[in-house]
Amino acid sequence: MAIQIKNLSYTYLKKTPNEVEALHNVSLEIPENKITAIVGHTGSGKSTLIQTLNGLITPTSGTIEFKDFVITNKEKKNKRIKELRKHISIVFQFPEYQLFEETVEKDVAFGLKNYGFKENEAIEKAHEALAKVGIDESFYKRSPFELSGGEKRRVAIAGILAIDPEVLILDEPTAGLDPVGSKIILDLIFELNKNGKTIILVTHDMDIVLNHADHVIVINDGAIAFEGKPSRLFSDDVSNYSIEIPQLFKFCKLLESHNVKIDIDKIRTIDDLVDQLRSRHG
Amino acid sequence: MKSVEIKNLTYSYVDSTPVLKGVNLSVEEGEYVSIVGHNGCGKSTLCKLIIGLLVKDSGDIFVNGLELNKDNLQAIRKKVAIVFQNPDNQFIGATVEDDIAFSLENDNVPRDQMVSLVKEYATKVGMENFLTKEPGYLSGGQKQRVAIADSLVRHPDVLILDEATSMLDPSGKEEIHRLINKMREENPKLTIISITHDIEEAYGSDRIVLLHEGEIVLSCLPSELFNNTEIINKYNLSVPFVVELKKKCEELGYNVKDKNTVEELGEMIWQSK
Repeated sequence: MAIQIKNLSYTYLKKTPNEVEALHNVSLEIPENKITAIVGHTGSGKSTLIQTLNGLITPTSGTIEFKDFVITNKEKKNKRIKELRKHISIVFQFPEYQLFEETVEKDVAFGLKNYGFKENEAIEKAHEALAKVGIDESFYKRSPFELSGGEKRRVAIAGILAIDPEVLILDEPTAGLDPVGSKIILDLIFELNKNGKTIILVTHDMDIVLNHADHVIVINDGAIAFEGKPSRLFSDDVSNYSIEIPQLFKFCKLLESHNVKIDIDKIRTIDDLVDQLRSRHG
Repeated sequence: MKSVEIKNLTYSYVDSTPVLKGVNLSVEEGEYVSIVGHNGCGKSTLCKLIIGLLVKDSGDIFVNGLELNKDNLQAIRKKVAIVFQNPDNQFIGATVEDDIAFSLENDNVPRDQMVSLVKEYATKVGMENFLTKEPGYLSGGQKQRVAIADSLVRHPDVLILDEATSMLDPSGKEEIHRLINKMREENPKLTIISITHDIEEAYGSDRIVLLHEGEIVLSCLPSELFNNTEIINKYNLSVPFVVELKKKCEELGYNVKDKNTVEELGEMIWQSK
């Protein structure tokens, strides 16, 4: 597995009257080279969890292990955090708000320079990353501020891709985009995963979970409420977690309840269902 | 009777980029129209022009036959209510009851009437148990329901929803969908204009207007739009699940004529061999 989380707890404002335990004794594994979705309603602890994964906040107790990195509650011992962030990177919600440079290529190259790359190397890698997100050279010298919302978001994602992390965490990557913009981002994520990146996706959109995720984790009140395949989650009673079962999945269940044989674990898109129905017809 | 009539409406930004290029639209009393289109197509601008938050370059807007101009602006704003996208940007009162009362205060409604009206409309949107709650204790869907109560309490003829569900989670969206249906049952004369990216919601409306680069390219029944593959592909629109399913069943060789719900299509499949 890529990341192993053991007995992780996190308390905000500890030892004050306002302390809140956001994560309580969470243990889980993030599988390597897969797309893992993290779902749960607002305030469930999703954001706290992803922030602990690359050391933005230090756990109150418990450990996070990734390769030979270990994050513990002893902040002073977590010396290799900067190096860890090269391997595990986060794209925050609305990342386009963090664009700041004069030109698109400079913005993408910024992170690389922080990791000691020389200017020309950084720009070269920035160009490669921009190509991956479908931003061509006509954009290189433009100000990031004159781009459309969807383009800005792709440039912001390129800034993280340029560092070439093994694990990419994206918080609500399609929020606020129209259907066309969303599809471009989702296709990109799918492509990155096919080329070997481990993806962690925080989302409210269960269609994305069904279509794209291999593994899903539900967080509820700071604890793991479910961990497993999307098809198993949607078969469970999800009424407490603000999860809307995708229509495609409901339809498959409806067919199953009338003795139509369906291999529900293999259904991600409507075309998968069509294929199974077709073979049923012989 | 025509509820909203728009003739040859144009609007440009200060730098003279055109946003609306001669829009003609007429909405009947009691009609529920969805306006769809990609970001930047001019949907929100159109709404803001109807309630006079922006001033048109040229063209005419009529609400219940009354022309939108300086003299009629206040009268028209009494007839038209709008609910915006962000639930946090439109909660004015300190509590739910204050918030609903705010619009009544502006209309000089006497206190005893106000008290009963606040209760009545909070009940209509299912928020009667939250009257003394502050916005911080409400979910996004609950705040939007309060915003709808704020609008309804003034008895508008036209309710505009400007992406009112787009920032809500699935259960919040569902709350608002149910409320829209309930409002229409209780007041069949209420005209609703909903700007939305939510294809499932649009599918449930009486008519869909597709706006593209400041022009109306199509205005028709939702089923007509979603069965028009050419338009769907050209404008890159998503399709409601039931429409997609029907199309796929047809490709599989089923006779899908007169099968219009997910249940009907399901039955057709499990009854076949």
